[in-house]
Amino acid sequence: MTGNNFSSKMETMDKKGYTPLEIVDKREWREDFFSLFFHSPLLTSSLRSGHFLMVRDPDAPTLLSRPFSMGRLFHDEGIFELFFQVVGKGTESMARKRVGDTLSVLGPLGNPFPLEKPGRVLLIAGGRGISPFLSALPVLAESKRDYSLLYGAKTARTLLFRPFLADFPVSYRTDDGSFGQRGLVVDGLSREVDLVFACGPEKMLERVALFYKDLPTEVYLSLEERMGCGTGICYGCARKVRTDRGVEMVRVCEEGPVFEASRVVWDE
Amino acid sequence: MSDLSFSIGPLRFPNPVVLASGTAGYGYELEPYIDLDLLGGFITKGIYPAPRAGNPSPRVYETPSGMLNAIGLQGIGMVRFRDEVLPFWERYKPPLGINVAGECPEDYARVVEYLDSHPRIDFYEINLSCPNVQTGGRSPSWFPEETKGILSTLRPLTKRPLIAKLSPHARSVEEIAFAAQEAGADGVSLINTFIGLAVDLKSRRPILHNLFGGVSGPAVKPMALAMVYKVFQRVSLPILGMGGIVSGRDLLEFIVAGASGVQIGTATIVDPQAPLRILREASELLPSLGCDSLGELRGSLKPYR
Repeated sequence: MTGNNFSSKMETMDKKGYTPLEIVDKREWREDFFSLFFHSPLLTSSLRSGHFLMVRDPDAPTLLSRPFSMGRLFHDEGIFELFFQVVGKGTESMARKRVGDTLSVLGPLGNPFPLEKPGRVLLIAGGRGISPFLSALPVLAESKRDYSLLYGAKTARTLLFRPFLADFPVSYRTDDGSFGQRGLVVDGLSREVDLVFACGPEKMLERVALFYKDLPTEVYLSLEERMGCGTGICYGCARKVRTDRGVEMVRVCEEGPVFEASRVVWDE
Repeated sequence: MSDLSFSIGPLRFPNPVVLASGTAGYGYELEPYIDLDLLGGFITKGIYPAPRAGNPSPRVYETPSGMLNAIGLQGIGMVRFRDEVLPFWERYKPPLGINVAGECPEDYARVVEYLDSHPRIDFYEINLSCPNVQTGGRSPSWFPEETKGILSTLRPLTKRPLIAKLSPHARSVEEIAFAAQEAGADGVSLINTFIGLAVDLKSRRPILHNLFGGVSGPAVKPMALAMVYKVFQRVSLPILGMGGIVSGRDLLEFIVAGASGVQIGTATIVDPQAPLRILREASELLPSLGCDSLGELRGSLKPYR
């Protein structure tokens, strides 16, 4: 924490807050995909697949922080990866950052995937939805369970992390057939699993939910919504979810971002 | 130590940093991030008699130096608020304000009547100005008679301070503030958000599902300061000033323009610890202005003519 006078200690005692973290490495992928690497043993050891982080560039012209799920965790070095695609002004300014620059980071936030649940696991990733599974795969491998990843993208060029994924059971799909099987991930779903964890475009998540609707498989989806605060105070990221009280608008940042598929209400 | 306290009627606020309604949840959401006891005050999300789902998403969007929101007063309603939220606040000291909302004067009255016996409540902020419900942004505080009508209905129902929260869209905010004073309000908060629109060029749809939203953040600060100053000239009521305060310097500028205390909103959304940073910055800056208390600074703007 910064500041050393009494009042600033009072402000932050036992409390979680934005922390300036230095970028220790940067990787530029294809098609506007980037990875930034941060050194933080505390965050690296507390982040779980499905958690998210709010990130802000104090020098950027933008005001609000942006939510990101983290990518790989390097526990020995205390380094975590932030993997993102440039989609607007916030991510644009992040992509211009260099090694040695700092960003303000708040986390871990939200509820992670319940990886500890027993049974055969299928991970489903669409496009940049691969991000949370980069930390889930090593955990599942260590637990010696029956698991696999189904990973789809538009084309081979955007099917990223393949060298890292070579150590894990992965089947690939591309829309144009340029790598793996041709077609959508939702065409490759298996009934022979007990647990499904999925992250990717909204349409993909909805089709995953529909596929397993009447099967005993437990399905968990990581949802996205435009976010204001990331901390539960603004109610900006709410969406329709079935709760004990009926269908309610529920915050993706606080009650999610991981939801049981059977609780999610799909519009239209 | 500088004196940062101020009062509204008999109610003393230990410092000028009050969290604005709708930007700080019900309070418990902020517990992991700040010591709530260090705040000058807290105002809850708008409380309606019944629970409300609010608007469909998208509800928020970043705009130049600010943000646009149309949450639509999602809320748990007064019954759950009393049962689930008020007990939480018994663990903390700062003045607690209930933001009272409604679609008609009877709604406001039901909320005040239902909650008023609870000992933890310190004041009411009457939301006469939320632009995000489906009325095209129209709000009672555009009109002196409607403002008076709602406040005079509420005045006999409680002994606690009533603070009227005003829209920046009235023809004359100072006349609305005067009407509030005449109807027995103990203070005014201003300003609520400006009505705004964001367009997605590709789809030609509004970005917010609700079409219009409320603009807040640094972009609105000059307009907010002007209105605080005008209202300070017109009425004797204490003013809670707000609009784009993100630093201690911003806070003190509102005091100079005439505010008794301020509310922090968008800055808390950006960083939950921002309110306490702003308070620290203001308390460090005050002595350098040659002042021992906020009172010395209040309304001290010196126009050229």
